[in-house]
Amino acid sequence: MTLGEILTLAFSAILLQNVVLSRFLGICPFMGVSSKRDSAVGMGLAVIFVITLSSVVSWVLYTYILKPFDIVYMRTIVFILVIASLVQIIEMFTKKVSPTLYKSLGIYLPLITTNCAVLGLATIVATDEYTFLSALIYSFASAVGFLFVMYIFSTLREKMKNAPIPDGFKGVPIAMITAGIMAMIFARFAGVI
Amino acid sequence: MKEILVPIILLVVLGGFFGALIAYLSKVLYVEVDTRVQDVLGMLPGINCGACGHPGCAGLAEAIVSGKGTPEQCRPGKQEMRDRIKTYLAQVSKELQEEKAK
Repeated sequence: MTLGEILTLAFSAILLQNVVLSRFLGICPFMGVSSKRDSAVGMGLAVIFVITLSSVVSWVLYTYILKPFDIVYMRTIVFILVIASLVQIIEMFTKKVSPTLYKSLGIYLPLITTNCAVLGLATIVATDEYTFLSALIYSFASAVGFLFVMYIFSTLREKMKNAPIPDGFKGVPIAMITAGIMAMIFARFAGVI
Repeated sequence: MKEILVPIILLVVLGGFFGALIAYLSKVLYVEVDTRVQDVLGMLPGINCGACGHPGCAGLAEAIVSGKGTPEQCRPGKQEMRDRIKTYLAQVSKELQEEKAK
C-alpha cells in the first residue's frame, strides 16, 4: 500500500463515510455523552482504543476461522464475544496501569460494549474483504472520525446551553435537529472524491 | 451433523478461551479496592441514572465513602436505603476505631 492509498482510505473513513453522520452507527453515545466537551473526548478516545483492537481481532477471526470453516453466519455472536471480552480486559488493564485514566473514562468504558459503531466496524472490515493493513487503518480512522464528530457536536451543545431556544426544543430535540443538519453537511463531503 | 458441531465447538472454544483469559487476567491485574465502596454501591439502586451529578452509582458510592457526598443526593433512592447506608458507614467507622484502639 502506498502512502497515498493509506491517506485516501483514512480520509474517506473520517469524513466521507463517517461512522456517526453517514453510516448512522453509535448514535447512542453521540446523543448521550455529548453534553460536556471533556466527557465527549474521553468517550471518543476510549472508542478509538476499543474499535481498533476489536476490529483487528474480529478480522483475524473472520478471515482465518469463520471463512475456512464456512460459518460466516456466526460472525455477529463471535464479534460480540470478542468485543465484550476485549472491553472487559481493557477495563481491568487501565484500572491496574492507570487509575486516573480509568476514573476519567468511568462508566463510558463498559458502555462501549453496547456501542453499535464497534460491532458495525468489525462487521464492515471483515465482510468487505479488507486486507489486514487496510482493516487496521480503516477502523482506526473511522474511530478518529467518531471522536472528531463527538467533539464538534459537544462544542455545539455547550453553546446551545446559553442560546435562547424555545422551551419545547430544549435538550434532546434541538440536539436531534443539529445532528440532522450536521449529517446533511457531511453528506456533501461525498462529492469531494 | 458437521454443520451443527463446528459452530458449537467454535463458540465453546472461543468462549472458554476468553473466559479463561479474563479469569486469569483478573487475578494478575487485581487491584485492591476499598470494600466500603463496593458495599455502599450494593445498597444504592444501581440504575446509573446520573441524577446525583455523578456518571453512575459507582461515582456516588465513592463520594459517600470519602465524605464528599451524601446518600440524600440519590434521588430515586428511598429514605430506608439512605438510613441503611448511614448506619452501615457509622458501624464500619466504629469498627475501624476499635481496631486502631487495640
